[in-house]
Amino acid sequence: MTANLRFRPSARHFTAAIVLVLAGAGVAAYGLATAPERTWLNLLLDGFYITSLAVSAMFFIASQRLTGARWSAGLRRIPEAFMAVLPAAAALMMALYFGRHWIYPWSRPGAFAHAPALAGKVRYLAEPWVFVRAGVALFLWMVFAWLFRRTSLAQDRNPGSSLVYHYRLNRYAAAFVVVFALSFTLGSYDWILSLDPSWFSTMFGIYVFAGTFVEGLAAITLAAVLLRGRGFLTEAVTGHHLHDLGKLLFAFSTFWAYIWTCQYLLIWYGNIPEEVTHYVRRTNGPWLPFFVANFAVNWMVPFAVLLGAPVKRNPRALKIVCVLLLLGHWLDLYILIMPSAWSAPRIGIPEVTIALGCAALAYLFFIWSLGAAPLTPVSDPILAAEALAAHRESIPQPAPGVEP
Amino acid sequence: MAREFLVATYSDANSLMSTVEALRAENLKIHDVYAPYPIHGLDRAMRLGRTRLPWVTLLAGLCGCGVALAFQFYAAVFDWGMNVGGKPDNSTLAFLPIAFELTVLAGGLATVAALLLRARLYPGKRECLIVEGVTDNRFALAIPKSDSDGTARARQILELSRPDKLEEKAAEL
Repeated sequence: MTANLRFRPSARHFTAAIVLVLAGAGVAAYGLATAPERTWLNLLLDGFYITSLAVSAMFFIASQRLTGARWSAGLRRIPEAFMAVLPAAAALMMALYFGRHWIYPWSRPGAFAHAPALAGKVRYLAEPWVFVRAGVALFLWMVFAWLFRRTSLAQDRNPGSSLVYHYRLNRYAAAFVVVFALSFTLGSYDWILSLDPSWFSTMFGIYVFAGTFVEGLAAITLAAVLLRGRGFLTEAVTGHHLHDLGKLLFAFSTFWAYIWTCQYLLIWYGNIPEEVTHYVRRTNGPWLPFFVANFAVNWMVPFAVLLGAPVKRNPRALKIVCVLLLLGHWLDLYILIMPSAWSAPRIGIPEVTIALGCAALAYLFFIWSLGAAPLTPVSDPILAAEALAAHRESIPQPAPGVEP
Repeated sequence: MAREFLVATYSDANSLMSTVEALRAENLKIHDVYAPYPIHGLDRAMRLGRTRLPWVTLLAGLCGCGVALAFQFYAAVFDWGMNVGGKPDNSTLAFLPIAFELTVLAGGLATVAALLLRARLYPGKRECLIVEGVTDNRFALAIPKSDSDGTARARQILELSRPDKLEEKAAEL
């Protein structure tokens, strides 16, 4: 346990990430000058991607605390490291203010003048109000991330009062899920659904959340598998943990598919003009292959692969599924965001480099936070209890089969 | 039909567990173990095979799905076609919710029914406890009794495991 206490990133990966961030920033800067609409859309897509990575890691922590889960106590530092991405992600999201006129039709003067159907949204989509909402949501998430992290580290330092910190973290988790449910729903409406102000879907918040949680689970699982492969966390991540993570991936990929189907089915069946526009555009013409691929990558393939129990414990298989799901969530956001502005899909240098740059940015914050604290929480009462139980089991019993 | 069993009773789960391991290490047959609560890892220690229940779930689920789709198709296309929002009579996507629900319902009910049948639990069944207290605070282990060497060896192991009680019993299990 003491041998691999701290994480040290490899210098090669670190340099590669710096290069990718610089390349992404360069392409984004050039793009803002030459093709602002395309670049702002990409910044929204990738900024939202890493924001949701950070908040879904926080939701993972909160859900584990609120259910009293014991199995995941040893790998808590992984989601904690993902939530360190939040400040960078929040800066990207707030920067959208400067590109609002390029991507958000409601921010253009007179947008509501000739659209009586949208009149009800005028007040909700008033420019200052939207960005104040965004700022408040991001601020609250950062406060909670800070509280989670600070209390977790304080617990490491004060073994004597570890239970006090344990219960304090549980209370923070309870407060966070309430704040998260409201703010993330509003955030998904403000940042993504409002790209097409004429569209209505009351399921949109839960749909974005479902994909977001799968993204967070995939990232946590991938990090656990990779860290284990490099000799870290060998005690905290056993076959049982991989099995549990695999089950969560399987379950929430299916939950995403369930919500996807609910939204599609209701809108298709109801066939109301203000609702179907969204799907009419995406299921006709050049967007259709992306639309189908989205469902296949995010559910059909993971479902088929993860169905059996042995696969959920197989690190190689988990790694492949996690990468697929991480790409899948990017595709999911792509198909939500881009068709509102483009008539045909474009995947070129800006899409790839800005996405890689944001991913590398998230990676840098992740490894920085991972290296800043012991990889396994030091004085977590759950881990202490488990260690005690393991000890009790290993006390030699009088062996019944042996002759006296 | 009552059969003869060798029954050892313990007052803690660890003794039961280590006895099961010792018996299985020599490939001796265990009829069953009885405990007031599920013991983690006991099924693996007994080296039980994989359960066949999921096959029942799969087959019943497929039946439920098939019946639901077939009935809706029959009703909407052959028996009483209706114009709903201008959609074609056979709008399969619209049949999915009911097909899904019936898949779950049939799969779930059939699994419970198969479990109860296989475990021979039915309403009005007389209780048959191998030892008083296995639903309370006792742990018991039953070995089928025969005149082979195996039974003698098993008896030896059971005696060495220091049970609270070791008895021969005829029971209908």
